[in-house]
Amino acid sequence: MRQDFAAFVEAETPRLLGLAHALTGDPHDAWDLVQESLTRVGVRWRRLADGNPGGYARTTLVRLNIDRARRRRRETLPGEVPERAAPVVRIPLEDPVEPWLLEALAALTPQQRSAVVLRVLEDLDHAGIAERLGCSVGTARSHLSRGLSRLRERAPARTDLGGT
Amino acid sequence: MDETDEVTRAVRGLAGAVTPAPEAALLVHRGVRRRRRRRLAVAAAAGATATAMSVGGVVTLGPGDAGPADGDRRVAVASDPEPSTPTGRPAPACPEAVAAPPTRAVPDLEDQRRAVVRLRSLSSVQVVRAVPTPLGVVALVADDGGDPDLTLPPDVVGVLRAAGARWAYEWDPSGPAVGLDAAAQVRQVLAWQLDPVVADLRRATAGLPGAAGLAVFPEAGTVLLQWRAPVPAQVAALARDEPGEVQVVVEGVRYSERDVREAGQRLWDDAGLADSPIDLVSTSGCGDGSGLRVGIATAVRDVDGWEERLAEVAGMPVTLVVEGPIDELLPAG
Repeated sequence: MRQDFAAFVEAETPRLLGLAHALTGDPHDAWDLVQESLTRVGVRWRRLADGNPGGYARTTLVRLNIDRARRRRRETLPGEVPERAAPVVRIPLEDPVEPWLLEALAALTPQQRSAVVLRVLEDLDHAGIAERLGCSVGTARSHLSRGLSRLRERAPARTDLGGT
Repeated sequence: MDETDEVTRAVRGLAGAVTPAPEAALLVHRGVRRRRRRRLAVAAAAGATATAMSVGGVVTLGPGDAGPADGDRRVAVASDPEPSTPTGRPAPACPEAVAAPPTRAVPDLEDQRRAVVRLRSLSSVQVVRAVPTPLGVVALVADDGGDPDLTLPPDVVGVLRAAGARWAYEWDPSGPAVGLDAAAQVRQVLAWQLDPVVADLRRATAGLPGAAGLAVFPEAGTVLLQWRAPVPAQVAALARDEPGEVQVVVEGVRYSERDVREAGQRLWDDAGLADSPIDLVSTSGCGDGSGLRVGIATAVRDVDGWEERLAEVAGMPVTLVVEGPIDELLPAG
């Protein structure tokens, strides 16, 4: 059934924003990715509406983020990034971001980070991750394995499991 | 994956830490509308360039990109998009986009062409794309499937440099699926070289009154800095033009970004418009710094009269553009 783009944006934006925030750790960067991904879907809507526009948007977002991360890895931009007003609201009651996580995620390559996030949030298997990243299944497996391993090295030991 | 895993819980918490504000959807729709206009403009510009080449033999290395992957906030086009005007008359001189500066020549073009031939014939490295540019030869190299943690190993970079590449980046094989074809990836490489210059310009001009905007033209390797005239000597001195390096063009314009912002705000704050046929949709500066573009939902009669009246409120020339109600601007479902 053909979807309406406005309804699609309404429904997909929260999910995309969560994905982007997990990938970037920054609400402004996350919004930039979401907006660009949805814009690309929007200009192709007639072609995508009958297919899987959500999958296209998420794949685009992941690839754009890898591209953005590659770009940042290769350059050190001087000066400060100008402040932007992103239409993003943080949940105010408590801060659910684990303090160690941002630092740990920043230590991963963009592909590793993407693989971990796609596994956790999208519940994708190796083949699904490979499709999103545009790489072989073996490479996706390597990204996920190394990413999870590095993250778990940095995760604090849980002391409240209450048994085995 | 184990639901109780610390990593799983933490990543899910990070994803849930943000929610979109109500205006997010509106910004997406505006972005789509703007992108569609630009694509139309690029198509028009490409047609104009083709005509010029067939008639006058004009050779351009135009910064207009027919690819869908322009990530820049401002896109260089040879002619501006001309949305419908309230009366159907020829569009006034208030372009939405910044006009490209004069075309730059590719330095040492023959040398670069020879380098491209050498790069394409390399057996140890698969060069997917190599092209001469105003900033030197850009080479995109296929990943050989080695260690996924690495991008381009130093020895590969050494081979490419020796063959004449100035910029070597990994080819993204997944790029075409999201609109980043080879040409777009080359364009992106060039855009990355402009970023440090843009940052330098921002730092050099921080706090100085009169900034009117920055525009980047990756294919030309040019950054355009617009400043309210008369341009201070300190700003004018930032212009530079060395072959093979990023070019900085400083252009004097009539109004600064702040002037435009304040003028737009005066319109939004004008209570007198509430009961008028003017249904404001957007306000933005003209690409040439000459005034204010005012987007309205529906056409009005006496356009000249309304532009004059709005200009009195805004304090600068106003050009009305019918953008349509937001709902009607969405892609057809």
